[in-house]
Amino acid sequence: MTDLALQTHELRKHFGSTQVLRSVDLAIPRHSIYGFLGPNGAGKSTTMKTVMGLLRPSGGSIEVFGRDTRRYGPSARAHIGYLPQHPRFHPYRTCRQTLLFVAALYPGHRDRRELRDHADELLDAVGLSDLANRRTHGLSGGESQRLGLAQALIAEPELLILDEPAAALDPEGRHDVLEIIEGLRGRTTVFYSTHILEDVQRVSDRVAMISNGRIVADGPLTDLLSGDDSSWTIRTLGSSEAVQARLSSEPWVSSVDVSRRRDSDVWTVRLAAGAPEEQLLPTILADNQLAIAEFHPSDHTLEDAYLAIVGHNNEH
Amino acid sequence: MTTAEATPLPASARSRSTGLTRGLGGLTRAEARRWLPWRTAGFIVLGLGLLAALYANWLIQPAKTLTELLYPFFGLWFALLILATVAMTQGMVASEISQGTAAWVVSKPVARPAFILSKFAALVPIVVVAMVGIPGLAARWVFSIAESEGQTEFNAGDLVRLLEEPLARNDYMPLMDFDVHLGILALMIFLILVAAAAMVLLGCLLRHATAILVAGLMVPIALVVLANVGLDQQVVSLTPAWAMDSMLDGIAGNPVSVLGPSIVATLWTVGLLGLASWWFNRREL
Amino acid sequence: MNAETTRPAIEVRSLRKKFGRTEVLRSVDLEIPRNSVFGFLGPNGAGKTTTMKILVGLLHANGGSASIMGHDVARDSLQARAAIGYLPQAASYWKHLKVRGVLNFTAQRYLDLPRPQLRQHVDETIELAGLTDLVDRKVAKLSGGERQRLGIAEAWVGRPDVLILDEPSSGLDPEGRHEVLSLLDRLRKDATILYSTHILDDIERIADHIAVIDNGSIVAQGSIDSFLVGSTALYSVGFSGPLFGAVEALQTEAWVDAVEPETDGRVTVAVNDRSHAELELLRSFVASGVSVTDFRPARRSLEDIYLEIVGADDDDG
Repeated sequence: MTDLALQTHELRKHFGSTQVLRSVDLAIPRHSIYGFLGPNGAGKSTTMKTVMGLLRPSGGSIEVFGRDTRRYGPSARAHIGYLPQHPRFHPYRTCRQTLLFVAALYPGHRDRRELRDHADELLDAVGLSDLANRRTHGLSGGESQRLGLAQALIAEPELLILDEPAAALDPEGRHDVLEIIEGLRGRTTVFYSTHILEDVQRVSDRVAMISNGRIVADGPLTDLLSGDDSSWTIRTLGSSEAVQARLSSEPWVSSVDVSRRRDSDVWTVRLAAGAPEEQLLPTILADNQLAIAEFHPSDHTLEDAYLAIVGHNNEH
Repeated sequence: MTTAEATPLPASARSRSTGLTRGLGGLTRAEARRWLPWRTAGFIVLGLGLLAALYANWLIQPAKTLTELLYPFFGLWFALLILATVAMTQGMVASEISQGTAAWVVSKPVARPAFILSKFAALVPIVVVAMVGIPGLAARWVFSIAESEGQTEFNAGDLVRLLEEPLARNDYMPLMDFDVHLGILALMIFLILVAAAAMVLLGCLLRHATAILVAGLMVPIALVVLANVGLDQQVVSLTPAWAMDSMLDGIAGNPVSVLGPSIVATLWTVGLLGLASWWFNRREL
Repeated sequence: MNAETTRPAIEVRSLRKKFGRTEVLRSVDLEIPRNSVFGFLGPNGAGKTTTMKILVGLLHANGGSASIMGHDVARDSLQARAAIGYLPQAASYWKHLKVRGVLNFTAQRYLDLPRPQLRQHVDETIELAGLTDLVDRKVAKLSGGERQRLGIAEAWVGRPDVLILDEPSSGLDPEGRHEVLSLLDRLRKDATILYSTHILDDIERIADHIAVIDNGSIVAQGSIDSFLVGSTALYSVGFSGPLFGAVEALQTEAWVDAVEPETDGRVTVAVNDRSHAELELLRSFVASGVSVTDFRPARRSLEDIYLEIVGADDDDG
């Protein structure tokens, strides 16, 4: 057995003359929580649908646990739980019946009572226990998404593919979903797309970014977040032009950018290589009237990394 | 997005009107621009279709003269136009409510009655033009054929003669003055406007397009029934059926009263639109 | 300043709303200061959209009152709406219109300007919202993100005093969200902005005031700093090397409540006077010879606070 849960090789897909996937290479290690990021229309949903066999690839290959889906599609899907972006259910089934129906589609036989208990546990985990006996007709967007997550989990698949699992949810719902994903860490491989970078930063251990049908960044989250350490953030109140001017004239300072945020100024100070970092604070404090609310090395957020990578890629 | 700085607005730029009709002009223009090409095209297609049907019928079973064709054309054109108005207006309000565009418009500083009235206002000119223009064009066409076949010495430039000629030549048709024609025409227009106003109200009250269409088709039918069922004249004269009754009288060659029925029909139009505006004003979107 | 210009931009008093027998708003009170960026939070179905729709006059309240720039939304709906630019959750436009057509139509509803000036004004808005390449696109052909940008441009094109935006960043990709947030940030000096969102980070980034609604009642409201920082101000200071008695020196200061050295090379300082702390706290460390590497207010995350407020409320009811 290979240690990759999902691998795509030069995956291509076009709709008519529109190239949606140009060449997508993904290698998703077993038991990783893999965030999939990219602009609207970059190819996230198309990649997932192609892996699920809902779309036919125009070229390239897909392997799920080392088996080519072109030959072993259904048996590959026996290992996957999938949450589409807009899940739809048979309107005449209740939420619990929907889960039992989905479970019956997966191979293997499970005790009915056990399965029912498992379904109720999942409904509870996604916050739908009150609606277990309600028909799926008339569920709200958020409720559909919760049920969609539960049905992806019901067969305890080894690989979960989740297309924007938290998009329609409120903060509490998103918190629940992240907890469920976090709870699967070490047992299940989770490959999920999202637009909310803070969520990715919180639970993912690896990230792939897609732009214009190509993977433009791929790797451990920590690698993406490690920026240059020579940049400092300083937040001050009151006028500070004199200090900024003095700072800019220092040979070991390469740039000072100031932006206004609410009632304070936020400075980003970049130091030249080999700069005496310990001199930065005394230089600023030389102005006795300057009130300083923050002073620390700049935080590197996934948003900075994302905008740098995807923004850069879009310009070409 | 760029960091373009906005030029400041002069204080006078903000519209201050607060009347019940704020936005009526703009909404009516928007509505007219939106539908004018479709409605014009629709009426032309309908007119040509009706004329073609009658002409085909005349070719198979020629009546005495070609110009005789015009008489049923005028009557049928009215019937067709009132039905077309009903069909055209059935989704006008209800679909905007269900698609959310009504909410879009009235979340702007627009008086809600103006939204309703603009639907009607954009309809009036095109109905009047269609009611007068299409039969005029049809008559011109028929006469030019009739003339070339030597059936008449018609002078195409003379609108009065144009309307009188076919009727004067027809043995079965009563001879009418031009004023009577104009009176009948006015009654027809008022009747169509009553039907349009009723459709606007139905669009506010009912949700389903089919229900609105069915209820709307009942309006002209009800007018004909009311006019013919032999109700007390005093009761009939309180309703737009008076206009229908009077119009039918005129066609039958009896004396026509125009002013009274026109006023009653107009009052009904205003009343129906007022009711629709009032209802829409209270409605949650 | 007279009373008229210092009144809140939006005032809502014990607003109630029922749909049939379901009480959607039990009692909503809001006071939204002028030129604030006001974040409106709460679970799905808590009443955010209903409140906003009442303000715009699309729904009628069953009780209580609301006013926009001093105009009662029920009695003077027209004047109230003239002061509002509104972005609904799922905006729909007449399908036959193009992007410029929508903005023209809306601008004309708000402004009495001669044609060339109106056109210039609409062009500015188009540029501001980054819609220049899309002006001749039919609205039916726009993508979700483009539609959302049109919606915000449309809300702003009448230059209203108040923007009411129902989930302006939902459905957008990170770049789109970033653009929308920076656009709102730029508009803050010209308008009061009330917006709802499910993404707490959007609030932390640009809002200066927030309110949390749950089960049809406002359960928390105030300036964002009062939530994130709390009543006692805590600062966290990171350092390298020895502390040289900096702790003892600080403890003698009147504006310091407590100094707690942590185990991870940081010191937490509780102060009772924020402006004093901002002027003197760092200087005091540096004067003692400590090499400070990191200094910031100890903030709680908005998510913790939100879950605390909404969770606690759920337990009660």
